[in-house]
Amino acid sequence: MPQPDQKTLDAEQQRLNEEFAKYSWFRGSYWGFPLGRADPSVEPGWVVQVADGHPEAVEIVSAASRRLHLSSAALRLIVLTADFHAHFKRD
Amino acid sequence: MSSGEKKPTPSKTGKKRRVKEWASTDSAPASSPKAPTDGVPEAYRISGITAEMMEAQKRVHARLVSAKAVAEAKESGLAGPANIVGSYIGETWSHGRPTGHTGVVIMVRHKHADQHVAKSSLVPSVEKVGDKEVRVDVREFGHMRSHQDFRSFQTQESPALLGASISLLEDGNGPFETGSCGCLCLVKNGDDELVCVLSNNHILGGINRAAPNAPFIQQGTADLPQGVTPRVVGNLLKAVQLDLHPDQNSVPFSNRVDAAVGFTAFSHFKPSFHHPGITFDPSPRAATLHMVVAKEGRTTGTTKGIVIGLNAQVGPVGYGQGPDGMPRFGGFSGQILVEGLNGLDFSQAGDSGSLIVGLVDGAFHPVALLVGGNVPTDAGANGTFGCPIDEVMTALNIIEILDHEVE
Repeated sequence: MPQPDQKTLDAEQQRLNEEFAKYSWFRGSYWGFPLGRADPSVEPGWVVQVADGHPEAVEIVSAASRRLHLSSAALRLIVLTADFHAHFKRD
Repeated sequence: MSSGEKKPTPSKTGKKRRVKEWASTDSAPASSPKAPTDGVPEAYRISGITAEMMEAQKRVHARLVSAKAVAEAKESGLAGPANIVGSYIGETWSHGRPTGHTGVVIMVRHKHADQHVAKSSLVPSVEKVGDKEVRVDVREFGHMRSHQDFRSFQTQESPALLGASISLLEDGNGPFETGSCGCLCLVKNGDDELVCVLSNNHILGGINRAAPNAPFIQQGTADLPQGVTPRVVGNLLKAVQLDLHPDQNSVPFSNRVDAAVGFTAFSHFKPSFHHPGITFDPSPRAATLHMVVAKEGRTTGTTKGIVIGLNAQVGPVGYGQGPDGMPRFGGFSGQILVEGLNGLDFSQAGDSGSLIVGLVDGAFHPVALLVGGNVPTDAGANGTFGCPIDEVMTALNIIEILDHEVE
């Protein structure tokens, strides 16, 4: 699966935002591989990031994947078990 | 390639380049600190250091390590100059407690009773400079070792290499955060090209709170031993404003970069990595999936990873609490995501500001500026995110990333 051009990436990401922004568990998306599963033999695609503790998100993302017709064959999902933080060190 | 061995880069137009470096007594391009009239840098003056204290330190230290002191210690067999590891100006201590007074502190390996110390090596309790008396203290520090440890770069380095610990100088508006020196670069400022350190806004810009031209130090505050005078190595030049929100449930992906540059000089920073295995080519590249990347940062030192995500939206990203006690969160778009190799963290707290370099045709090129990552947990994979280097360079008017000194 070749990487879409920037215009397509931005447009598809906007569609993902519109689809999932209403859910409190949505933590954005990116093009690539789920963290911890970067297997070179697997095609890259859209990955939806989901906050921990929302098992209902799996079915919702899967259903959207069938409907949205994006560049990836399927939407992958990753559960963020920890939030991101700016990596500073305080005294 | 090692820094310092290349010839200065000539101007592409043939015109002489106007490369400028920071000097502690120079006026900065914008409003500048008051030029000292007694040899005391402004940053020292803010810390309560006087010319008499600096003179006292010079005199006492020189006397304690003089040839006479060496000869006397050798003849008597008592403790002498070999026991002295350094000196600084800072808070003096008495009976195990800080006194609240600033003076000269002589650092020794071991504190001995007076009768076990050679006469010329006895540390006075005061040193008179003119009509002023400066307090002198002795503190035990044990054996000093150089920190040639690739696992972390938290010490004072002179000059400091890429990844070294930096922070803003505490000025009462802090506390400020400690992070890493990403790289040295040239920033266009009118007709001049200013030698600068690149790091994050949340390090050099004080998360939007830094005063114009705020001084920054190496080593950063979190790593500075108590009582040691911070070493000012430059001034903030420009920080890209961060869009932050107190409610983590409504944080838009509105930021593209978390970046800032500080005006500095080659005497303070050397544009090369600690690890000889990183062949550095400073021409920037775009990250691609599965690209092998590396970085050097204050906390985890030299690490390697692979790029697993592009065009990443990341948020909410925690920025700690503000001075009002409210939490601060930011959201980003267009980021790159990196995963550490062999299950190890690519970065941790304190690595902010590191330059992420990607392997292309046998050399490591700048691809992104490290911003943050997951707080490590046992259950989850740890990701690091960074802002693409081309957007950082555009936002800060960086015209060149350096791998050697230029003039």
